[in-house]
Amino acid sequence: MNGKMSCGDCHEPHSGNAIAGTGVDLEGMNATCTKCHTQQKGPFVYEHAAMKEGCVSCHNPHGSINPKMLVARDANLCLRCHLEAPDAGSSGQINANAIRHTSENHNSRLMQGTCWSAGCHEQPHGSNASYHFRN
Amino acid sequence: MNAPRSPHTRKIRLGTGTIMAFAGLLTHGAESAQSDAFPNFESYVKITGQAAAVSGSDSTFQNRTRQPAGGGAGIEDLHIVKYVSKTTTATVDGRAMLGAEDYLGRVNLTKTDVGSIDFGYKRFRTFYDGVGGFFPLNRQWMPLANQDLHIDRSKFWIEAKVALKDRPEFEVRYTNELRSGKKDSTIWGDSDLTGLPFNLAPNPVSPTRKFTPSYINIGERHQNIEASVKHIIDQTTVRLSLHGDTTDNNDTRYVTRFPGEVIPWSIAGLATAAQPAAKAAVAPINWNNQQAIAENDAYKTKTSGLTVSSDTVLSPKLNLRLNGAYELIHTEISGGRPLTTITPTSTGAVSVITDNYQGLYGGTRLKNYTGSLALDYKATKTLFMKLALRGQSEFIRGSSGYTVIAATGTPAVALASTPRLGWSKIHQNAQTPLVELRYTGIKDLAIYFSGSKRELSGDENNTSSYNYISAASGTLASNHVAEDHGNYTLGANWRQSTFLTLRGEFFEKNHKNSSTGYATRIGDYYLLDSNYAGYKFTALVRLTSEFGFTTRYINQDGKMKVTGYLPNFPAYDSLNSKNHMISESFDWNPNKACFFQLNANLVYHTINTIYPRAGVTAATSTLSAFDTNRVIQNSNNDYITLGALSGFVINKSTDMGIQANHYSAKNGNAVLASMTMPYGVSVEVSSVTIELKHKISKTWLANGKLGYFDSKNDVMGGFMDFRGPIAYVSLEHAL
Repeated sequence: MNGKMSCGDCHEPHSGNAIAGTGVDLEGMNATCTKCHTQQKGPFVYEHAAMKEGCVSCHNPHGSINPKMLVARDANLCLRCHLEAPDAGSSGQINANAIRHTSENHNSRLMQGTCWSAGCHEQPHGSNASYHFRN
Repeated sequence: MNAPRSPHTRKIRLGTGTIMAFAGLLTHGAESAQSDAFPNFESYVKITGQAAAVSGSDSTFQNRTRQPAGGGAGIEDLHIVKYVSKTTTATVDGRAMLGAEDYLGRVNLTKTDVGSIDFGYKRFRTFYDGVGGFFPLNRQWMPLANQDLHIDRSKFWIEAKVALKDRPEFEVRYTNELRSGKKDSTIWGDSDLTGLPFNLAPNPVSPTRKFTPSYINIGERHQNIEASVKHIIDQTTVRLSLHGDTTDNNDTRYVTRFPGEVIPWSIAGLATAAQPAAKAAVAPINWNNQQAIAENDAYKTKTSGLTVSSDTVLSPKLNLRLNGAYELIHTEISGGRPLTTITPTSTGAVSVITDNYQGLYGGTRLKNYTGSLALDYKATKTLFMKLALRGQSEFIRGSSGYTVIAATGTPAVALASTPRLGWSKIHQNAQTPLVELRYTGIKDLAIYFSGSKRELSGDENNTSSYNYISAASGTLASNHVAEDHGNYTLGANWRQSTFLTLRGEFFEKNHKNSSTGYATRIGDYYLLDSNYAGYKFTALVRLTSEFGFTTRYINQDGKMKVTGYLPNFPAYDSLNSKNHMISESFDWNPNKACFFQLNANLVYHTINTIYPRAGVTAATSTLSAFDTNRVIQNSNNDYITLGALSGFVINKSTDMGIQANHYSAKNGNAVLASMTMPYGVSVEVSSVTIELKHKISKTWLANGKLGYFDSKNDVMGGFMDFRGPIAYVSLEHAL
């Protein structure tokens, strides 16, 4: 969008923290993104709580070395919050010990691609079909 | 009518070409005093042509430089100002760039103390590539048949404003935006054609990797209408705004899995234990069956809402602002994710069991009530305070249903449909107090602070999708959710003299998000505790009137901890991130006829999650031990940008500019390919551009640029490299 957007599309330089719609204003920070990215606005049947932290949790709106302005292009993007930790009860396998009792071993899947790009959790902005944001 | 740009200031104005590559060559001041300044036309037309002779990947070139590989030409800028009367001005803007598919038509009519009307249409194109991934072990490369992907965005708008003196001010605005075309997706399909051995036990490494490209077909429409009235009553400005909004989106992602592969059914029909050995004897191209996924998300929304706000001057020192808003959103969803095998079987091309659903239907509803109150208090001439409180109550409900189509038998001979249903409900309330302070009581020093603390509590209930024919209900999840978000900033600006300005800022973001199960979910627990803190420092130094530099450093550390549901489990450090950014810029204006500028940005950014510290997966009877730390490495996002820019006054009617840029992000490690995917970014882009701007006459300007680009992407096997010259010419004429 280089040349087609300017700072003023998202920032209000003369108010508060200079992000349009935050502070005590009526819109949330995400509204500056979803006014154009309507497909990611929702509401979805299954909302992803990460959206409460804002689109900027995963995307850097000023640019990134990664596609889609992602903060990280690999599964670390998700593992920041959804950790896969050693579980003593599974003989050294790596299991998730958080998020709805999941104990799936994701090793072989993560070898093949990221959480979202490997054909599994394809709808990180929210899903209308699956609580797990699966396809 | 032509207005001189500045009668005594010649600013080396190097053209405003549409291409990003030349963006840095824009206005930069050798603010030298010359009487032969380039005129700044009030009404003008600018005719442009641009062309590229690029070898290598055209689609990467287009994506990176935002211009068509085939070049383009047309009217880059048309601007006409007409003074219809002493109080009425008409303005027309236009653009028509063929090739870049960039168009604009706008008309504005403004009458002083009466109002204005503004309408227009614009459309532009953005380019994407369809290159997917690359597997280095056997140099496997599977781009889309058509890599030239693009999205066209268009917008029509009309707005009218009536602002009569001492009367209520009315505004109405309507917009209709369209977004259509194809773009790439980061979700990639599978392939066994990686050169890796089949996972014959105890080999833990599967040959399958996800690197075949996919794309999304976009068809989106967004309409919005807003009407507002603003009126001043004594010391209070009141504003009422109504808005209606609709979206109609129909997007489909197309993914191809195992392209070119055909599974031999006789082997797939063997007992599970016998399959690995049998498959190992089969040529890799026959390991899997090509599958096509068409994931369709259709989404319609209707939004309506109103906002009432007021701004009251209570005293010369005190201002009160109040806001209240209500919004209602209804969505209607449809779509499906048919996944079919390409190889004909006895039942023809069939659906397969994995993640296949069709006939998605349902909808969601959101109600949002928001209110805020803010006091601006100017306690003294040098101390300003803002106290504010925002409250929000949100209700979301949603439900959906779909049918899973499963195939059984090998080859598939029977299809079975299973209906599924799910729903969700969320209610949450949030309050956010906010404080801002600004103190300017010390000479040349401004100190500021802002802090906010958002506290949220609510309930989330949902069921995972379930078969409502065979099950009485789905698995019900009930959670109390809570948030505690603190955001703080403390900073100062000190203008020591005209030679030195220093700025510093500390910031901290301390967030807690928790979800605690109740009812059937007693025992569920998830707590995410995140902390980001850092500081920014900027020094602007002007050593002489000709030479100065700016130094900027940003440091940010991030930490996250997750506590899970299992008893006696500690809080794990789930994230440890570090970010250092150093920017340096030198400006040198040795005389009135030239300038030089050097820029450098160095970024060191790493994201470390718990996974790489997980250890070794122990051997089992069917699995060799392997180092799981290699499955996911740290995510490094380091990069460097370097830039050199200079401008020269050649003579009274000619300027010249030279620019060189370099961008390098070396975080790729293709050695990881056997264990994980993707394996980082490794890109290097260099460019050199020379520009000449010439005043042909009082009413004609000419501009020409010639650049050379060289782009390399190591982790993509060279398939995304491009290089070659780019040229740009323009003629600008006063009207």
